[in-house]
Amino acid sequence: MTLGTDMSSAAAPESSVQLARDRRGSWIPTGGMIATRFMELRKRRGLMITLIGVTIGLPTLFLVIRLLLHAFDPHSYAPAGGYDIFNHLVVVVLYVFGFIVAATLGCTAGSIDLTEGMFRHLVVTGRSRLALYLARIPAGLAIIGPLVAIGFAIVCTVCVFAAPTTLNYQGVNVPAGLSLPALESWAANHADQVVCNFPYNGPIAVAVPCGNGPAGGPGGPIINGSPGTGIPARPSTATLQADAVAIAKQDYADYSRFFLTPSTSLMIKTGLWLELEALIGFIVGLGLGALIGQRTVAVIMMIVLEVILTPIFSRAHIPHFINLQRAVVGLATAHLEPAGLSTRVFGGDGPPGANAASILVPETKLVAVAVILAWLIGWTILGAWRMMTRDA
Amino acid sequence: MSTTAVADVSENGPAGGPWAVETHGLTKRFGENVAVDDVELLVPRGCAFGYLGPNGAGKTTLIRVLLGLTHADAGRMSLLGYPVPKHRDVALARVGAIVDEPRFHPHLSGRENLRILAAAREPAARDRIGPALERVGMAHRADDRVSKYSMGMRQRLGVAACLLGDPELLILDEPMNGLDPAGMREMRDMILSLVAEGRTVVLSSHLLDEVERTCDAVAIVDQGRIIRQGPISQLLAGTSMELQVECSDPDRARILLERTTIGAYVVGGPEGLQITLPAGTSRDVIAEVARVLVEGDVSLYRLQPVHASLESWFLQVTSRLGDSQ
Repeated sequence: MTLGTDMSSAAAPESSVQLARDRRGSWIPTGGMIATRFMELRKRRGLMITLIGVTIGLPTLFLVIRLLLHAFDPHSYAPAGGYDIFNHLVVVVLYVFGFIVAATLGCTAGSIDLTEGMFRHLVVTGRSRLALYLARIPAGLAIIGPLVAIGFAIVCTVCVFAAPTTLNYQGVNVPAGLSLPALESWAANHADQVVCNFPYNGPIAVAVPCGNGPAGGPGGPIINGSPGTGIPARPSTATLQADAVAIAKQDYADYSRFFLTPSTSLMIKTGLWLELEALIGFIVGLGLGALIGQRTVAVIMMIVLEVILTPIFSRAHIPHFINLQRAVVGLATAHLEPAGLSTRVFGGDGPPGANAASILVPETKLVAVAVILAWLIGWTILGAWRMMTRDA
Repeated sequence: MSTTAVADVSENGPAGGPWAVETHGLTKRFGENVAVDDVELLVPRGCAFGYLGPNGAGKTTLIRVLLGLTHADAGRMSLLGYPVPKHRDVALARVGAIVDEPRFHPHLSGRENLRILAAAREPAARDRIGPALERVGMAHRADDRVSKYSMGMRQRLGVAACLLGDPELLILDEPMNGLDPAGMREMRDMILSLVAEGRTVVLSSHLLDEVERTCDAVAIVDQGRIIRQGPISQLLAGTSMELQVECSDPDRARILLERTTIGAYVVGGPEGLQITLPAGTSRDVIAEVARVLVEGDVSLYRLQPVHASLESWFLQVTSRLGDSQ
């Protein structure tokens, strides 16, 4: 055995100045504590495989399959990306599973020192227990945050660059993302399809006879009536074009809600919303894990909360318990869902921009934000309190 | 002294003093069970101190209370002159400890586990990782995962963890557990070298022989209470003296010795007679025993004083306690 230079020196107590500089009693974790905690979590192979598999692997696998199917048989399979795919991947996969894996990471970070016997070693260092707890927050978020971001970036990339080139609006293939003048111009050039397929509320210039449909209404192609048949004669091209332009103008607001690709602002809002959900999952999981000191039970409780309790409490209007339902964090985050998404969390599909409150238990955005803050702060306090008072 | 609250030894902040560990009236209860019962413990600085007791005597609980791993129900304590829990962070900055079986994150290497612990200490602790691993003989396995370590290797890693803080006081709970004879010898040498550097080592162990070889002073704890404490030499000085005798006629020798006034208690055994003399008996009595036997025409083949061991003393003390109860 050899002696280290430092330790072979006389063991006179260090000056109180040096100890004071150490700030061991401070509740603020050091960079080194956060870095080593990050390392400890990152090196959990099974956990990291699960995290990466769910946040990145699942959406990637789904999109790769769609890309391959479309590449081999483009007539039978639609392009891999697009607005609808974006919606479903965000709400069904990244939102729900992102929360669950973030919670799993939180429960692990909150309980594993205790179950693996390291908590005692850490307490004996004299370091503030609160600092030991708080060090886990940035360390865990430094793992789950980028993973969710990478998974979401992959989804965005595919949904933008592998989107359909045309939009099917009311059964008619229409170029997407047209401005009003452009749509009017396109309508003038496709007057027959517009007049006979696009919805409109009168008045327009003339009644147009469309095949397989009542005169003056949408249906098949325009037919040329003759006297005695009761079908009006085909209007002039100029009249039809004028009607088509009028209809396009009327339908533009509806048309503009349908997107081939998610807009940049929608992607940014959705990304932040997903990160918020992951943050909540991690912080609540961390607090719960520290509180009960056991990972498996804590993870099961978090899954039950997200998959069973939250959907029930978000949609069922239970008399006398409505305010309690509003305190469910999942309902609060659902109310913060970006308006541009057509798929509603816990609420199925709907037109873009539809109000989530029409499906969910009503809650104002202010209350939703307050509920989320209360959960984040409350669980942090609970977890830290348990860590500070627990026998090691 | 308060019986319900834990107070500091010194209310006026850190203090020096001769004691590395000092407790007064320290009590810890688990429901009806009193695990630490009004303990008065004084551990001098710069020595190896053995903390001995049967299983369930409350050794580990006292260590946990001292280190702040659990709270005390009553009493006062200080580490290195710093009252705890008031100055716990400052006191523990110069304390290294192993409590119970040392456990670490099994998926990390020994070095990575030490990095986690060093990060919770002062910045200089990181530079001590390598020397600490060298010192406990773990440098060659430092980058293996802890899940592949034997119990003895985890013990060594635990000691390395203790050394990260350049401790003035080390508290080692059963550090010999899981070590092979060579490992025990290395551990003993290391403890002695730590003491030689001026550090204080408090050693809790069942291995009385090891404690006797390693420690300068001991405390005996039983049922939560300290029943004896002091330097080993002083404690053993109060024990009875034993002589082993091999001779030609053990029965006659026994009769001759029982007729004398030296107060010998003589029993026969396979290796001859065993003579127990009262505590405080002068060494001149050994010559007197020889004279009585020789003058009584008993041929004397061997007359050997038996050194009173810590083990025999420990058994005497603890059995007396049991008898009294």
